[in-house]
Amino acid sequence: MRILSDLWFRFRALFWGGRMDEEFLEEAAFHMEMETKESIRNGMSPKEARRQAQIAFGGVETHRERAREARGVRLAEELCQDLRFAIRSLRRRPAYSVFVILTVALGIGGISATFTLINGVFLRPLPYEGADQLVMVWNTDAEPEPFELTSADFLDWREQAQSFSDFSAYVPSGSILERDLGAEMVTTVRVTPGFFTLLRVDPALGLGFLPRHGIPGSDPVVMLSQSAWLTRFGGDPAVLEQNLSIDGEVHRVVGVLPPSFRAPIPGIGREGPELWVPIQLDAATAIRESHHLKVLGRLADGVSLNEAGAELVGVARQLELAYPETNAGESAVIIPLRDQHYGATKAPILMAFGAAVLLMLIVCANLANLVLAHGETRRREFAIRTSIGAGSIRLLRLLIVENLVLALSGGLMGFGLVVAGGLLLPALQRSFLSPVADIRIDIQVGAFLLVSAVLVGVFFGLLPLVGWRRVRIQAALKQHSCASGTGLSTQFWRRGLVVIQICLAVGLSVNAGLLVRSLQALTRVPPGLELDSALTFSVLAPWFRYSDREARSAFFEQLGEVLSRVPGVDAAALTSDLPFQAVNSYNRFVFEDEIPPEDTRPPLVEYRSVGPGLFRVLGIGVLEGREFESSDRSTSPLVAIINEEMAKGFQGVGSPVGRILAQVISPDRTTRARIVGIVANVMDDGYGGGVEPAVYFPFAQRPVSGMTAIVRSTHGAPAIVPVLREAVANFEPQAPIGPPRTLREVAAASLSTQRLAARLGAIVAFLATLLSGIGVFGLVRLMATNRRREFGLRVALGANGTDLFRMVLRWCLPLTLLGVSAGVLFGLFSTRVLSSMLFGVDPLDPLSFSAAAFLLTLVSLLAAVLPARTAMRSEPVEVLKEF
Amino acid sequence: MSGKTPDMIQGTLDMLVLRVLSLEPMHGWGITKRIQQGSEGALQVNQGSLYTSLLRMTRAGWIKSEWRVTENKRKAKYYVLTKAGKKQLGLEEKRWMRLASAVEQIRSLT
Repeated sequence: MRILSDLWFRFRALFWGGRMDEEFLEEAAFHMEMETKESIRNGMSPKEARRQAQIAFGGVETHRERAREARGVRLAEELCQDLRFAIRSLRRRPAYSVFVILTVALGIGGISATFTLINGVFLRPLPYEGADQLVMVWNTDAEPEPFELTSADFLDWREQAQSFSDFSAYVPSGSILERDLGAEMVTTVRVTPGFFTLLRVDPALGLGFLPRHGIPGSDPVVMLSQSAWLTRFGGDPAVLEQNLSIDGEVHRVVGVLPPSFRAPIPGIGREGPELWVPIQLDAATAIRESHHLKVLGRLADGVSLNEAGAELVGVARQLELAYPETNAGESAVIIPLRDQHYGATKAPILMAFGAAVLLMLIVCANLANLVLAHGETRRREFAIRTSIGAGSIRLLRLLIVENLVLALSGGLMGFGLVVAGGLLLPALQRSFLSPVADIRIDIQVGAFLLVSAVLVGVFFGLLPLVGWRRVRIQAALKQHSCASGTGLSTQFWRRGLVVIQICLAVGLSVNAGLLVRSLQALTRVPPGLELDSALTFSVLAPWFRYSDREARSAFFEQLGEVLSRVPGVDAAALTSDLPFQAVNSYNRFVFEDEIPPEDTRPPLVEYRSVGPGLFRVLGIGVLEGREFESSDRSTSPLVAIINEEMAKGFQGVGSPVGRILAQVISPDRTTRARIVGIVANVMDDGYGGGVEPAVYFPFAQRPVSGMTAIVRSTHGAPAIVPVLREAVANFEPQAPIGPPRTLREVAAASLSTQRLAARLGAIVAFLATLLSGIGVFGLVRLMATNRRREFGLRVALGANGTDLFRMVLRWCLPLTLLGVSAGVLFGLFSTRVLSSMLFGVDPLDPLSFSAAAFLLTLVSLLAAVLPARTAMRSEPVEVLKEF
Repeated sequence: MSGKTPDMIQGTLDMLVLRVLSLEPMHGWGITKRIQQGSEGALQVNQGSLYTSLLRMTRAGWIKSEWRVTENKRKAKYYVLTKAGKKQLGLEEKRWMRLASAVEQIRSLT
């Protein structure tokens, strides 16, 4: 109670201290008046009475001071005073203040922004309950990449694996949603009914999926994502139990997912899938050949990752023995969900943070130099303050407050930068971050920012202590400032800091150069096809109208013709998968004449179903044989086209054209297709990973339900798209069209990560170079100022302006060279870290290194030019006058 | 301040002020007079100590201050004893009695 009352009093004293002071004066006046009156009553003269009263009362000022002190807020009041002083003195030096605030903002903004990424990816847990137990379960074989499970394997693994409390499968896809306004393609995920239970996610509305929904033949149901519910159905709860037409079938809505749910499915984008449909699966309908299920598992309590993995390997082995034709060589691997989503992003994020830290170091070096230089010029001011009674602690506090003000302002601005960086976030999450990552500016980021700002402020506040003793020992008032900054240790530190800045800037520039060249290499690689003037859009054949293979292939055949006939279109063709995008269809093919080595299975090769004339439309060269033609129908002999890389694997005599390509579908079923052509390779792996073998089939012989049309036209997209849409709508009104994109856009999108990295790298390098240039400028200017007298003397003794100019530059050259050499060495180490992200560029690329070295040398020399020119103009008379 | 009588220790002054205020609210000068008159001149109050004490006790919440008008129509700052202050007075007086009797015991040993 006492403490509360005390605090309340202090609080009042802090803000109304002035009034309290006045009140005290009034009280004192009253007291003395009463005392005086009494003395007068006792017979004293008024004058004497008043004097006695004053003596009795004692010095008012002293009392006032004591009263003020007793109020207990002196520290706070003094700090307020310090604050006012600090702001005033900073306002008097706007250039200095603004520069410091900006650089602090840059440094702190940079590390805070990258910390936001680190926080979201490394520190914050995945947004699921018990997320540490969640794993992805994959099939493996001799291939380096794990792949999906077959439905029969999934059922067997689920039944036999004891170390998992639950298994669930999902398949991302798309579906046609038909409503009053028409048909639309909507991202959809098919999941086993236990999917949401496994994730421990309850629907926000409705009961969700029940186990019986997964029984083949049961009524189709669907769940909506929160955003789908809000945007398509206006958030109306009455949507529950309603029927929706999805893929031509009636689905009953049984649930809406909560807004906080994030689908653990990479590549779908921030909003996530809109519709969720149960997979209907049982032992009777499961097959062991098609690998298309992605599997999510939850480890049982107390089971370790290794135990579970080992158990699954055992299960896979047993299945391998039981079904040698389909499961030979297949094993299992489990990957914690966290690594699955974040694994690829860890390295780049850490590198980004590293770059930000380096930038911060440069900023700090710059600031240190600045503060030191500053401290020198203020020595006189401090000496004066000390001589009139300011305690040294008070002065120190003043300095710290000043620097804290600068640092916190910089931090505030840095916060603005972080928020601006947040605008980049959707782009980042689309291109390389998982949608599951919850990257927000939250308390941890705020705390990080605040702590950084305070540390910077305090550290730089303490810096002037360097040489503090000299302030007090030297009677600075008597000393000329010519001695400022010539102490050996200060000089050493100053120069050392500039060298460090140059070194770091070189390192950052080298890395940026590598990233830029890597991007260039990627874009320069001829993709093996013609990128310009091509428009792409996907088309789904409505299942309910084209339910069998014949019908579907006829649909697409006619669609191809319709598109070719659209005015303005030069050529059109169809493919199941565009280049630059991930292909979902893989299988094993062999050249029939060859006998594969014992116990190995042929590698998985991607394949596509394409229409006639596709290679011509895409500009992919046909090296041998022919393209597909409309004569390749479902009734004709089966044919296939392979790419150059695949053809390299042919070990027979002569050309593979004319030979048979075989694919084992099941023990008693093998499809055989005659190879009719070889086409050029397409460099379409966005990461420049090289060329893969590929196989193409005519879609008439291997129909799919959705294809992408490629249309060549000299007209721009805005002109031709509406015409195309109309043509397709006239042809088949219920076929939804996906968003049209030019082929160039598709290609560019696959490089978005590299582009972002190159851009950021360039920005950081630019800032680093700029800052180090400023550092050199400051240093040379100081040097020139200090040696003014010397220059004046030299001029008097016969040197001319050019000599002085050269002298200054010559002084600064060894520093620059030292910094650049150190930077090159630093670069040699640091680029090794970057090497995993580079393409077509050696981490020790001489061009990048020499460019960075040259740039920094040039910048440093340029930075020295201005002060050198000032030195050049030293007039001996002017300088000597200063003695 | 009279040179002869020593300064009162802080706690004693507090206790006396509280005692005076327990009779009726009073301004600073009045408190001084009361203590001086009440002790028949034996106790002289150092003004500085008094006002510091008043400030301290206000901070602790034992007394409150309010501006009132005196009989002579002058504005003065009156101090009022609070409930907490009343309790504190009791504690202080008890402590004083204990101290006094202890001192008496030692004194009567000789």
